Amino acid sequence: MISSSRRSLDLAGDRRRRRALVTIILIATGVLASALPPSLGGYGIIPVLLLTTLDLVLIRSTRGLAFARGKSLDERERSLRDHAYRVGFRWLGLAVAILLIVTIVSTIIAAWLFPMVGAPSFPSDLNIGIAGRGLFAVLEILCMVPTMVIAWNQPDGAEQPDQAHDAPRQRGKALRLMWLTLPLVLVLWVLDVTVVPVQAASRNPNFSSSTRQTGAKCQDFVSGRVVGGPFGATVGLDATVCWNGTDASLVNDPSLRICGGNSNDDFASVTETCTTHTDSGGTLQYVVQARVSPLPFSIGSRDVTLTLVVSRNGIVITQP
Amino acid sequence: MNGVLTPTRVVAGILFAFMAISLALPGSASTYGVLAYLAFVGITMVVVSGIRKEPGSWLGRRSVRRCLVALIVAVCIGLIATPPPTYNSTSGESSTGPLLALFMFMVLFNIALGRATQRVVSAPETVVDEREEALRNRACRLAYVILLVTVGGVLLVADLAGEQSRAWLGATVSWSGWLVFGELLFILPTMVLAFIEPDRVTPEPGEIRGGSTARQRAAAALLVVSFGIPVVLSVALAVLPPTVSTSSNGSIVMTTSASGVTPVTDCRHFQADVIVGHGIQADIPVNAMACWNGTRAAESYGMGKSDCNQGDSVAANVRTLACTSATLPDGTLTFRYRAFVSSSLLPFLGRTVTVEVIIDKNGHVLAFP
Repeated sequence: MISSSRRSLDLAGDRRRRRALVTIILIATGVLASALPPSLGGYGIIPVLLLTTLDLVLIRSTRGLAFARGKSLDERERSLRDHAYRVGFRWLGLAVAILLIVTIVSTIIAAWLFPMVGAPSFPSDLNIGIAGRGLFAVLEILCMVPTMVIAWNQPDGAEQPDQAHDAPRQRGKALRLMWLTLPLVLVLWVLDVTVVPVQAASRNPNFSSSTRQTGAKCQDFVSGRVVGGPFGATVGLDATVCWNGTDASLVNDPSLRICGGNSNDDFASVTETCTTHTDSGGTLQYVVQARVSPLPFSIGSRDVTLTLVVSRNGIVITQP
Repeated sequence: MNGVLTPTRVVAGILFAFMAISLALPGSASTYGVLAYLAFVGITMVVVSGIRKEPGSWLGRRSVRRCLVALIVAVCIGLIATPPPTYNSTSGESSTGPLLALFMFMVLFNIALGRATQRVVSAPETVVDEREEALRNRACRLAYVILLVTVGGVLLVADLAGEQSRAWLGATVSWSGWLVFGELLFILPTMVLAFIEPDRVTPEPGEIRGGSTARQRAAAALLVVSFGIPVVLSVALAVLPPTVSTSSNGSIVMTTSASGVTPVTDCRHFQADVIVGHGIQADIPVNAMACWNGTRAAESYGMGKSDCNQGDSVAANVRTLACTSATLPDGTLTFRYRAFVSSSLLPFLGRTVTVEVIIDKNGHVLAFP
């Protein structure tokens, strides 16, 4: 059983299967970089781990040539590796350009298909840098292109290294150890979403909106919290408040249908509850309460509360 | 993808298409001019990149090549540090910063570096010998590792570190970051090769390789024109008189006062665009309405401090020197907007422009561009 699974992972001698694997990795990376689906629903780590597994299989099929140290290679292998990097440089540009096109086109399609979804992963009114799935796709391309070139070009029945020599034996050991990457990625991600302090997210200056109401003054409030950076979740508050001296009111989402706004739940599920209340003095209180859960059964979950209080005269008493 | 459609050319085409679309969307004549200039620069680069000429004794030295590499790195850092074009609505100032100057320095250094390395990295397989092939492959491997560490590292750290770094990343990715990424993608292997290659041995006369003389002359002419155009346009901005287009329409405004009386007021709408420069240019607009009743003239709109805003500009900086609006004791309304316009390539070279609108209490226009 073990030897059969080892054989199925060893694609070193079969160029057709290696090329199929490269194609699958490229398509999967493109899908991950796209804005479709708008949300990964907290399961983003699964495609990341699957892609990492495919990467490791591909690295194994090329015997880690792209990452091997010069001392462990003979002259032919060194020449092959260096040539792959030169070709890889050209293909890297093409891959990044295609990723860019995929991202832009899919964002337009997502905005057209899901106009009322409050949380497409990007773009956002918040300064969230690069969304986690996009960042992983870029890093995937950067790290894997030379290996893909080698896997694509290496002919069928490539020579097996002589295991009697020290250098190939060390490479074999390194190839076995590389499988530790999978649990390492998982542990780092869990630490990221459960331990790293919650960070603030301010408004993206590239986005602006203006709301007018007769006899009242209005202001947009856009803010949020980032849990676990790009590989976690974002809880957003997007409120347009108008006041007229008598009372302040929430005008962009009075029925709280969208709730929050700009939230991103690709790598951790986000459960939001929104409440709004205008007291007898005309002061509006808008609260977004969210639970961010990276793991099932709310293990390691974190609570985030965003509160906005605006008086009837437009004085901001509390804002996130 | 052999032949015409090489990956490098496809990527260059895609990047140019992105730039063209983003520039063409506003749809003004000035942006089409920028687009035409960029296309010309592209043609120049294609012609220049096809020439392999001995670098000469000076550019053949490793120390000189390393200095060139250091200069390109400094320009890239400068580009990354340059904030996106800013417009301060309070002061009315706008600036593209040193972007154009940095871009031109980058192109100049790239050309020098290409000459110094004889463009070995991008040369076809048929014209490089075995030593050059091994050297460029090694340079590409080292360059790839540098690219991976710098680009991957910067993206990861900036995206994870905090709010400010994410804001910086968002601004850089949508601005000069693409320019630097393109530079790294296309030029980094050449930079590494220039850094690691030993001093060149001066070749025997019979060994000198090069393109045709006609092509070299054409490349030199294109280079002179490519670099000359922005310099000439920068000087033209300071020397040539501004272009003015105006329109002015009279109207009668009926207003209802609290007492229920409906007095009639004469008003006039003033629209002017003072365009300083050609190609490298800035628009100083006026869009205002003034009203008068025989006793005094007053602003209806468009003459406040926040109305001294520059319009479209291409590679030009605008600094507001004065923005005043007042009704004198004799009832005359005066609006004055004075600004210093300079090229972002030669910021010390510019001109002061004053736009005045003066209307007396009877609606006579005493000054208007």
